Amino acid sequence: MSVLRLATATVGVSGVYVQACGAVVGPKEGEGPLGQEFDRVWPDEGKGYSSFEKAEQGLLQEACDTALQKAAMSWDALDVVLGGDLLDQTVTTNFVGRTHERPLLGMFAACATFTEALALAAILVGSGAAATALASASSHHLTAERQFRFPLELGYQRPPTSAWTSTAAGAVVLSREWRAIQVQAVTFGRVVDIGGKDPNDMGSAMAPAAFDTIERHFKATGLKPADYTEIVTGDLGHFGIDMLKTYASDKGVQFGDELNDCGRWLYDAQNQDTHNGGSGPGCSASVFAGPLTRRLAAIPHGRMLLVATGALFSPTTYQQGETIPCIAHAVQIASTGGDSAP
Amino acid sequence: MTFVWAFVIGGVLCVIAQLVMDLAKMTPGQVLVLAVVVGAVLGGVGVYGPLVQWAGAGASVPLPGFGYTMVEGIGEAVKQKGALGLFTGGLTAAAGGIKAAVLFGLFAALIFKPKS
Amino acid sequence: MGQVIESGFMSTGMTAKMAASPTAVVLIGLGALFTGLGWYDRLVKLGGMGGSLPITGFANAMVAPAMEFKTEGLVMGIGAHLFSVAGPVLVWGMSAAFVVGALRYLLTGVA
Repeated sequence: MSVLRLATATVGVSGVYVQACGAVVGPKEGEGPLGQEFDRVWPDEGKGYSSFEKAEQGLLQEACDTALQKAAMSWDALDVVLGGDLLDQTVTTNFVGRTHERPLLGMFAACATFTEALALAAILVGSGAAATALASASSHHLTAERQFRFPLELGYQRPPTSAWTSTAAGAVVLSREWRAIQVQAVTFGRVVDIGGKDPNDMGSAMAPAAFDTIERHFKATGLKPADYTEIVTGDLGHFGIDMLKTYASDKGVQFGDELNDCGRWLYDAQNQDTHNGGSGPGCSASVFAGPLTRRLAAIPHGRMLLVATGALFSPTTYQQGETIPCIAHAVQIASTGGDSAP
Repeated sequence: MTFVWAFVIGGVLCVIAQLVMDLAKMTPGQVLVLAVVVGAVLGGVGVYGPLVQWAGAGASVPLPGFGYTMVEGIGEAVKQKGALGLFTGGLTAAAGGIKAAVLFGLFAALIFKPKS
Repeated sequence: MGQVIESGFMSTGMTAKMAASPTAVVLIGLGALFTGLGWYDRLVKLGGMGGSLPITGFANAMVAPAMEFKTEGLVMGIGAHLFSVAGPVLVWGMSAAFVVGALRYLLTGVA
């Protein structure tokens, strides 16, 4: 158990293990290609809650409860909870905190929130500052659309580069007890703004931020793309991932088949009308907490880099004509050969 | 015959608006505002009136027709009341549409819940 | 479609000018109803401005935000948001009509 500075904002972590994960998603995500691999799929977006904001809180609560249940832990056993969401004042995370009453670090990095929380949680546990920590992130299609874009029933056409904010929540419990998946290193991103202005094309705006973090992580750890079983970005989508590949090869880094994207996996692009793919903090959180950790645990010596990307704009800055600053945080995990799948 | 022209003109107006939105990268709200303003200007210079005579609802139902209706209303009111008509005419002519939109809008919003 | 309704009203003895207003009322009612039933956003997805530009689109622009903000109450929720998209259209429409009318009045003296 230790943490070690490898380079600016890249921290090597050892002795920190994923105890269990919880992933709960909405109906559309349930119908997607990964639908079977989440812990729970909601039958509809509201599930009887009186508002969609409350529904998002319920979604996050279920994801956290599921993770704790699988870890055979109670809320009281958690030293600290880290997490965030898309809504103003991160109300989802904070209101769920009202129920569980554990020490809470609310975070915001838009759709990169999950890896920000997971990375910091790993450092806290690895350093011994916390014995157990829970990292989470959530988003809800209907609450996010209403805050960021247009009213739901207002007819308008989405451009092909626009993303579909996912209804999804993911939670991961970390502690020092040996398990199938360990955290190896994390890199915190810096804000990168290439001057993109179109909130309907966030994938292209975020790709340079993703590359910046990945490149810094490679330099600090001495690893290259081929050393990973999988390198997975958060929600660059179909357009963003192509742009990342082009951008990287211009800078002399060649990605192969190991590079993929949670947003691209979450929906069936042909049949689900989601254009560029899924987005939202819940997208990378649920895909990581559901399918990704389980698949990695089954691969001997598997190593994965999760790079969630966030577009840090608000409706106000967009209307004032500001460009969109972006950020990406990376977490590297590896399989240990342990048989208890998260 | 009016039906055919209504269909054609209504369609052409919508195509123009769609092109403006796609090419100028405007939001739907901006295009709707622009459409009403353009309708008012065209009404003022006497172009939109003949179009409405010719294509009926094909020209009056799309939003430029709303701008045109208000300008026509102002014209009528000015004839009767002088300069005061500049203030009363526009809304008088559009009163039916606006009141209906508010009332029906309120009812619909009260009755229904957004789906997705 | 509007023409069918307008002709319906005209057949009851109204002039084209008289029929325009009730036509608008009926279409707005339909636009509001379709929005409430959740059909209108699908229509526009298909037809783009073909769905947004007619007066039914105006009704859609009022109902959609009002429905969405229903949870924030009757006054600041529904009341305020009925005009969040439609308000600008009214403000600029009325102002443009006023300017055009005023110019015409000044230039020709008859409006």
